[in-house]
Parts: sequence; C-alpha cells; structure tokens
Amino acid sequence: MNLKVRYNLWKEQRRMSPNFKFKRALLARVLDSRLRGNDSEDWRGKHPIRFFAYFTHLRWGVVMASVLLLALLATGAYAYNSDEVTEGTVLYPVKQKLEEVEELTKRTPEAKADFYLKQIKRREAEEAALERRRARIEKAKNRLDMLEKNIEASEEKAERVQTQLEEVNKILSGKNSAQNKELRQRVQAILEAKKIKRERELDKKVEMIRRKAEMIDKLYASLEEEMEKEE
Amino acid sequence: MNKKKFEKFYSDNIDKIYRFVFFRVGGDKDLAEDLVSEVFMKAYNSFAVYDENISKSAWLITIARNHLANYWRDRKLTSPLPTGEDGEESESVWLDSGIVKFKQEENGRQVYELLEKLNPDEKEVVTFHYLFGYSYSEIAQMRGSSEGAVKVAAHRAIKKMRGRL
Repeated sequence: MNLKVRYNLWKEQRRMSPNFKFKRALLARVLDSRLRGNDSEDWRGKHPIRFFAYFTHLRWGVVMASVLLLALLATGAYAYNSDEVTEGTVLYPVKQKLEEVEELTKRTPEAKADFYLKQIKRREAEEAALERRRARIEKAKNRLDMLEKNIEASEEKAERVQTQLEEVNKILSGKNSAQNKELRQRVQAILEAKKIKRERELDKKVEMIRRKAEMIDKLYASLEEEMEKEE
Repeated sequence: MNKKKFEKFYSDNIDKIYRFVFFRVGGDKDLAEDLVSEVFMKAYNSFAVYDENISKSAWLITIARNHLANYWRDRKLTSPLPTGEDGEESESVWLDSGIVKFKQEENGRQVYELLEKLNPDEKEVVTFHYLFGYSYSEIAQMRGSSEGAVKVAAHRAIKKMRGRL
C-alpha cells in the first residue's frame, strides 16, 4: 500500500477515535456503578469486591482524613511522652490537657498518688530539659558574641587596609598632585641641607689649609730672619 | 486484581469499539459516545462470563452489534433507519452504507472511494483492520476463519487499492 493511502487510512482512524477525556470519564462511571451495587450475582461471585474497594470509592477524602487523624494522634502521643515539650513550647497546652484528662480517669487514692508521683517526675524531667536548653542558649550566645567581636576586628582591619591603599593610590596617581609637590620639597630640602653641610665641610677644610699655609708662611718668614741674622 | 483486569480489557477495546460504533452511526459523535457507554456498562455487568482465551474482542463486538440492533429497532418506530440497520439484510450492507456516507465528507474521501471498489470480504478486513484497529487474529476470530485467510484477503485488498491509485 503506498504511503499516501496508508496515511489517509491512519488519519481516518484518528478522526474516528474517542478523546481521552471521554475514555477516562466512561471508565470512572463504569467502575463507580460497580460499587453502587449495579452488578449481578455472577459477577460478584467470580470477581468478589475487596474490602478496601469500598474505601477507594471515596478516594481522596478518606485518604486525607486518615492522614490527618494519624498526624493528630502522633502529635498527641509525642506531646504527652516527650520531656522536651516544656512550658513555652507550642505543644505544652496539649500535654497539659492530656494530663488533665488522665487525672480525671484516676478514681482511687492510690491511683491518684501514683499519678501525682508520675507528675513530679515529669516536671523534674522537664526542668532538666529546660536547664539543658538554657545551657545551649548560653553557649550559643557566647559564640555569637565572639563572632561579633571577630567581625568588628576584621572590619577595623579592613578599614585600615583601605586607608593605606587609598594613600598608596594617591601617591602613585597624579604627578602634579599636592603631595607629590610636598614630597619633592622635602627631597629638595634634604638635598639643600646636604649641600649646606658639604659646603661647611669644605669651608672648614679650606680654613684648615689656610691656617696651615699661614703657619708655613710664618715658619718661612722666621727662617729667613734667622738666615739674615747669620749673615 | 479484578478491577485491573477489567481496566486492561477496557483500555484494549475502547478505541476499537468506539470506532466501530462511530462508523455504524454515520459519524454522530454524541450518539456514538452514548452507545459505547451503554455497551461497556453491559460488558461490565456480564464480565463474569468473559474468557480471554475463548474470544479476545469477539465477545464485546457481539454485545455492540446486539445493542446497536436494539437501538435501531427502537428507533424504527419513530424514524426511518439508515441502510443496513433494519437487521434483515447482511452486515456487509451496513458497511457499504457507512462507506458511502463517509465518502460524502471532504475528509478522507479518497480512502472511502478506494474502499468502495473492494469486494465485501476485502472491505470488511480493511475496514476492521485499518479503520477500526483490530488485529488479524481478532478479525479471524470474529469471522470464524483462520488468521492466514484474513491476511490473504487483506493483501489482495491492498494490491487492488494500490492499483487503483
């Protein structure tokens, strides 16, 4: 069969096909009719209804309600039994209510005494839990303080580094800046001072030489005098 | 699980039965949906007697044919029936009338023109296989013949259709 005919047949088949919505709705309706009892004895005999099939009819409502109930029961059990549920926590009122209900169930004095003893032990356990919690909070606070101090020290260091960087940048950038001028003046002053010092040293040397020359002149003059006297 | 068994049966057959009924009612989508719903309700209620090993799709086709026959019979009192639906003529007649009806539509006209040229046997095989989507083995079961015979008929029909293009 050539492709065109095959394609046309396929297109016709598609055109005649039911849509997904209809198929799903029909299946649901047919199965739904089963649970409402629209079926024959023979069917029930060969295909017996499972117990939970009745619940699947209600589907999501039942599932959600069951999950909610389980969650509530689990929360109640945890609130009642846990030592960590102390005054100030969210579940403490639940615990208190459950204890009140338990108290009501105790009729005899012995039972009540046992119950109050149990209460005392629970309060002690709660106090220990509170103490542990306080110590944890204290530790956490100290750590936090230390962290804050470290952060402040780091910030100061960062500021100092920033200032130094800015100074260096100022020096490196701009030839005619005021600071460069000042530097140059300082360098010039130093050079001047050195020059003056050098001149003084030279003057001193010249003075020394002159004095020596004078001394030599004096000596020579005295020698000449002596020579004249001898003559 | 039994519900699962029915769901599998449903998903295997819904498309085919729908196309079968859609063809028989001349392309009326709403009517086809109503009739198919009723067919499956009947099938569901009698699912106890269904045995896959005996008949894959023939059982459901029989329910559909009977339901359609009842429908047309009830309608006979109030309005004229389409050709082939009064139950007195052979089933190939409704196939012919369906092909003629769909040929009048713009979409797929060429397909129905080619189908019209085939003999009843070939027409049935090609319609059931290529339009409704039944496999050769299912068609053989419905006709009470062998799968080989159905394939041969299909092959001849294909050759004829290709020759007429």
